[in-house]
Amino acid sequence: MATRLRVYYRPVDLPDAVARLRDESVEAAPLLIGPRPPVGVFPDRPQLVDVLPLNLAEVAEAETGRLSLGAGLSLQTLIEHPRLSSLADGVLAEAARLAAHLGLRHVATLGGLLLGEAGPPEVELALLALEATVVTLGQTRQTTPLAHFRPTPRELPVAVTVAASARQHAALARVARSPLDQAIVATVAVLTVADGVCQEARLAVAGAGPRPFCLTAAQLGLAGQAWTPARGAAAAQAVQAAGQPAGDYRGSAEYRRAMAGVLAGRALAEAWRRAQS
Amino acid sequence: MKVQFSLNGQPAVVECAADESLLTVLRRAGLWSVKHGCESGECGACSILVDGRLTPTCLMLAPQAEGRTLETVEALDGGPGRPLHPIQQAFAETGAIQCGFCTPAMELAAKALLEREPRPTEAQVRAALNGVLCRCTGYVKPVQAILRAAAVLRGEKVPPIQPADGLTLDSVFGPLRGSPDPEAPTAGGPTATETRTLTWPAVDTRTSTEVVGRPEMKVDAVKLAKGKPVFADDMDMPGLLHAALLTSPHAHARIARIDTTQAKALPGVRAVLTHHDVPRVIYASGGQTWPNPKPWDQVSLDDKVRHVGDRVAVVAADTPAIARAALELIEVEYELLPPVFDPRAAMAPGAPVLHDEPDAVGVHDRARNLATTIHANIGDVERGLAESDHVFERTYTVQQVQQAAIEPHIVVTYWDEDERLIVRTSTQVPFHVRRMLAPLIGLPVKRIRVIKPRIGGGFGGKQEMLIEDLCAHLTLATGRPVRFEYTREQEFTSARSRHPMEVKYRAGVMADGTLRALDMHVLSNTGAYGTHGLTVCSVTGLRGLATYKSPHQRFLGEIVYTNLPTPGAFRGYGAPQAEFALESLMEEIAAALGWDAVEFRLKNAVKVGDPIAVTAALGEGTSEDTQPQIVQTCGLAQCVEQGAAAIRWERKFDPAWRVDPARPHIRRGLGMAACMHGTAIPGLDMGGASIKLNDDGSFNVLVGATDLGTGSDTVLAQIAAETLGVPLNDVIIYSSDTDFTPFDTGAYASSTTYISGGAVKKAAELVRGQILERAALMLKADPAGLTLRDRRVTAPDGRSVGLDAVALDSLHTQDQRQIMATASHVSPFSPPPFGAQYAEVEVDTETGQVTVTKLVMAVDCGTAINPQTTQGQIEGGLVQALGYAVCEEMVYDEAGRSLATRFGDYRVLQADEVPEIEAILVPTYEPSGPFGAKAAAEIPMDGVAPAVANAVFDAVGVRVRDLPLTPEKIWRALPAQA
Repeated sequence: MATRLRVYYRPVDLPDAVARLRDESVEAAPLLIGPRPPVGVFPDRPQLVDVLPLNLAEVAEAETGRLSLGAGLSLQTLIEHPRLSSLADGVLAEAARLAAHLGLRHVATLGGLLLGEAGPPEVELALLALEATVVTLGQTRQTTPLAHFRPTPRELPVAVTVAASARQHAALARVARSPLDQAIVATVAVLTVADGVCQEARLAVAGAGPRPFCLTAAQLGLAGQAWTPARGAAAAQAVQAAGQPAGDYRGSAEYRRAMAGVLAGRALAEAWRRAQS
Repeated sequence: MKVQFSLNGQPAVVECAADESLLTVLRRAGLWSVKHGCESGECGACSILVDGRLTPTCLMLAPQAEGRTLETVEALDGGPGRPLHPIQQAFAETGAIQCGFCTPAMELAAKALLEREPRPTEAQVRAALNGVLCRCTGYVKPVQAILRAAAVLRGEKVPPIQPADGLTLDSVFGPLRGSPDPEAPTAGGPTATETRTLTWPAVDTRTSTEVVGRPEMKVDAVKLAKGKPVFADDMDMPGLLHAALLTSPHAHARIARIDTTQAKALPGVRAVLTHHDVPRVIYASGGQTWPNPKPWDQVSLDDKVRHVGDRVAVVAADTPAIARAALELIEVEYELLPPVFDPRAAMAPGAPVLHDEPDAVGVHDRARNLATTIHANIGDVERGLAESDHVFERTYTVQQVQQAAIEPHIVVTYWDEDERLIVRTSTQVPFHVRRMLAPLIGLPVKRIRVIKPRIGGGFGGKQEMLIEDLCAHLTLATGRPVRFEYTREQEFTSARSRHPMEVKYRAGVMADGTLRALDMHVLSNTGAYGTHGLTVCSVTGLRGLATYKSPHQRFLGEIVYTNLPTPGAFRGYGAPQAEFALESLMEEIAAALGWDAVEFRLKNAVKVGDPIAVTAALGEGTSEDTQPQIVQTCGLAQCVEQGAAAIRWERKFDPAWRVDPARPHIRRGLGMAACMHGTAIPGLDMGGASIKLNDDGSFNVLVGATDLGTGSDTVLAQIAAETLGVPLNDVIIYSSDTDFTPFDTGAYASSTTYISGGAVKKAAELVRGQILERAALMLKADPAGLTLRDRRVTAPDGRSVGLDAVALDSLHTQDQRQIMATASHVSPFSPPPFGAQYAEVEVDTETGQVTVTKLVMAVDCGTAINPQTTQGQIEGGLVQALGYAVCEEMVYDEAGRSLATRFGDYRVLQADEVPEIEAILVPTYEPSGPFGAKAAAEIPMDGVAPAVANAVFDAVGVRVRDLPLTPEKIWRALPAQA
C-alpha cells in the first residue's frame, strides 16, 4: 500500500529543513517539482518539507567566473532573469522554454529537476554544458559536479553553480515528434573561442545513453583547434561513439546514435558561428 | 489543517488535509471554474493565477497556498448580472469557446499576459496559452480572442465580428480571390485582433436569412466564459460517495480468486463490487441505435480480464483517497493467460482465444478471434483488375490514437425523491445510455433519467456507455449518490480510442487514367471488445470506396480481437484510416502514370448526379434493396481550387522555394488530399424536437440532440429562430435530458445539424403554421397571405400583430391552446460533404523531422448555419488530425502495458507549436438539409495525414505508408539510410 502523506512541514529556516530531512524517525522529502512532475503531487513519503518559502531562489555571483543559482529558482526565472536569460547566448532560457509549458515552468524548479524523474532534458543539458555543480546540505555542505550528482533522501540541494563568462557561446539542437515535444535526442554545446581557436568546449547529449552525458574539448578533438567541417564531423563521430543508447517508442537505439552525431555537429557548428559573429 | 490566502480579492480560510491538492480544495469551496483534466499539470485546465502567475493547481498542495494571492475566473467579471470582462467577451464573441472546459484557464492565461504586455504579438499570445491544452479549437479563435481583448483593453475600436464579405455561391464560382500575404503579421485590419490564421466565412446569397448563416454567439458562451458550474462534476450532494476502479495489470488472465474483505473493512468504504456482486448481463458498450450491432461480448464485471486496464472491481467510499486506498486492499489472484496483440497472430491457428465465454452473442469466429467480418461486392473486381492496363497494390497502416478530451469520463448517479435513478453524465448518447443501462442494473427504462450537462469534449470517446453502469451499480448497492471519474491514466488504458488498421488496396487503372477496379482489404484491431468494431470498419469501407468511381469494387473487413485496450468511436469513425490509404494511393498512382495528382483525382471523383455505388452495399441500415446514394451537391472542384490558391500551390513547382540556403538540410514540400464524408446514417439516425410559444413571444426549444461543445445547441436554435422569425435570443434551447426532451440518437455520424436540425425545422414550421392561424383570427385575414418576421405577423395590408400578443391571445383570451409542436426527422439521404486539404511541410533531411508549417482546408458543407462555429470545427479538427499525422500514438510494451498514459508522453499539440491554419467554407445548397446544410464536424479529420504524407513525398521523394510520420520513419526512408 502506498504511503500516504500525513504531514506538510513548513520549516522556519534552512537548518530546520535540513534537520527535518535528516531525522531518521520520519521519512521526509523536499517538496520540489521538476519539468516532469509526478502524477499527483504526493511522493511516496509521509512527510513533505516545503523548502520553497525559504530563500532558495537567489541568483548570485559565486567564485570567479561562476554564478550560483538557488535550487528554488523556477524554470520561468531562467527565462525572465536578465543575467540568466543572456548567459551563454541564452541557452538556459531556450532550454527552459523547451522543457515545460508556462504553467509548469512557474512551479518547476532547479531543485525539482535534480530530484525528479528523468523528463525533458534540455535544462539539465544546458547545466551540464555550463559545468554545473550541485551544492547540497546534509551532514555537511557538499559540492558535486552535476554529472556525478545522485540525489539522496537526506540531502537537500540548495544551489547549482554554473560557469558564466561573457566569452561563452552556446547552441542547442534537438529532434522531436513535434516542435515542443520531449526531445528524442538533444544536444547543447558551449564553446569558448579566442584568437580563432577553441579554448574550451563542452557538449552535453541526452537521449543517447542511460543518462545525459557531456564531452569536453579534448574528447571532441577541438581543444586548441580552429573549426573546420572535418573537425566538426570528427567531433560528431566522437559523440556517436560515446553514446550507449537504448531504444524506446520515440526512437530506436540506432536512430538515437545517429542523431547524437547529427545534432552534436549542429550544436557545435552553431555555437562556433555565434562565437565568430 | 487551516490554510489562509487571498481568494479573488477576499481573505479566505479553508480546512484541508495535508495531502490535498489546491485543485481539490478550491473545487470543494465551490470554485467550479477550476477543472480537473489530469494529475500531472500537463493539461492546465486546473490553472489559476497564483500571485499573478498561471499555475496548475493539481501540482500544488493546498497548504502551499498559505499567504498567496489566488485568482479564479469567478471574479473576472463583477458577478451575477454584471457584464463580461473584455477577455470573456472576446472569447464569447469570437467563437473561442467550444466545449468551454479549458476556457477559464485560458482566460486567466490571457489576463496574466495582458497585465504584463498590453500589446502582445501573436507569438506572445501563443506562448502564454501553451500551458493550457485545448482539444476543440486548434487554438485559432482563443488566440484571436486574446488579441481582440487586448485591443479593447487598450481602448481601441475593434472590428465587428459579423463577416462583411464572406464567400458566396456566386463568388466561389466566379473569379478566385487573391491569397493573403504570408509575411503579414496579422490578417489585416487597423488593430491587431486577428491571427495569421485566416478563416473565410460563407454567406449564402440564395436565401435572405436573418439568423441562419450568421456568426451568432453560442447560446452557452456566456456561462462557459464565466466558468459557471455546468459540467457533470460541477456539483456536490449530501452523502456523495466517490468511486474508484481497480483495473487489470495483466493483458490476459482469469481472476482465480478475489477477496475484498480487507477493502470492505477499511473505514469509510461503503461498497466493493466484483463479478461476484453484479448480475452477468451481456451487452455491447457502443452507444448505437437499437439493436446494438453485434458482437455483444461485455459484462459489467467479469471473471476474465482481456487487456491491461480492464475492469476488475469498483469501490465507493467517503473520499477519493479512501476509495483509492481500498483498491490496494483488494486481493486478486490471477491465472495468467498468453496475450496476443497482433491481429494476424490473433487469427492464426492456436492463438489464445479472448472470448471463450459461452454467453457472448454474435462473435463471428471465436477460435480465430474474429469479432466480425464485412463483405461487399460491386461488379467483378477480379475481372476489373484483369481488364486494367495498370494494377497497383499498396498496403498502409495506421495507429491507435486517443480522443484525449480534456474532461475525463465523469458520471454522478443518485436516487431522486421518486426513487428514480438519475444519471448525470458526460455523454454523447444520453438516450442510448438510458436504454443500454436499464438491463445491466435491472431497472426499467422508466425509472432512469439521464441528464447530459455541458461536455468537456467528446470526439466520439463519449459515444459509449462506458462507466455509467459501474456508478449505477454502486448507487444501487449503497443507496447513496456516487461520483465516478476516470483518471487521465485510465483515459488511456480503460477508455476508447481509434482503431489501428492495416489497409490494403489493389487498384486497376486504364491507360487513360480511368479507375477500373478498387479492391480494399482492411484488417482492423478492435482490442479486447467488439463495441464499434463492425460499424467503424464499415465506414472505412464506405469512405475508402466512395470518393472515386470505379465499376468494380470489393471490400473485405476483418475485425479482430487482441489484448489491447478497446478502440471505439473517434471523430471521423473509420474515415481517417481509409483516407490516409486512399489519398496516398491516388498520389502514388498519379505519380507512376505521369498524371498530375489533382487532375487524376478530379477525373475519377464522383460528381453531381453520380450514384455512390458502395452506399448500397455497406453501412448501417443497408439491406439487399438499398439504393445507392446520389450526389446532389458537390463543391469538390471548387474546394480544390480555393485550397490551391490559399496554399499557393504554384510554389510546388518553384525550385528556389523548395530549399532554404540558410538551412541546407531543409526541404520544403506541398501536399494535398481530397476528402468526402457522410452526413448522418440514412434511414437510421433520428432526431426529435419540441417547440412551444411563451407569453412574451419567446420560444422553448427542447431537443434530444447532444451538444458536446460543437455548438449544436446554437445551430439548432438558429434554425428555430430563422423559421419562427425571431432573433436568436428569443429562443431558449434545452437539450439532452431523457425526461424532458424528445429522443435523439445522439451526437455522432455528423448528424446533428442535418438530422436534429431537420427535426427542429419541421417542428418550427408546425409552430409557425399555428401562429399564422392564430394571427389570422386576430387580424381577420387569410393565413396564406401573412408573413412572420421580426417578432411580428404582418398582413398584406400592413396590419400586424406581435408574437407576444399572439401568445397572450392563444394562452389566455379565446379558444385557448398552447401553440406548440413536436416533430421527428429521419432522412433517406446521407449527402456527402467534400473537402480539399493542403499541407506545407519542411523536412529535415538529416533527422527526418517533419514540421508542418501551414494547413489549409476548403470545405463544402452546404450552408454553414453558423459560419463561426463551423470554422471552429474545421480549425480544431485540423489540429487534431495533425496530431494523428505526426505524433499521436498509443504505444505498449511487450506485456501490453501502455507507455504513454499522460498528455506529455502521448503528445497533444500546444498552442505555440501548431501551424498557420486557413479554413475556407465553400457554400453549396443541399436540398435535403435544413437551409441547405450538410455536415462539417468530422471531415477535417480525414485528409490531413495523407496531405502531410504527400507533402513529405513532394519535399524529399520518400513515401511513408505508416502513420504517424515520426522522425525516425522518415529518416529510415531517406536515400542516405536506404
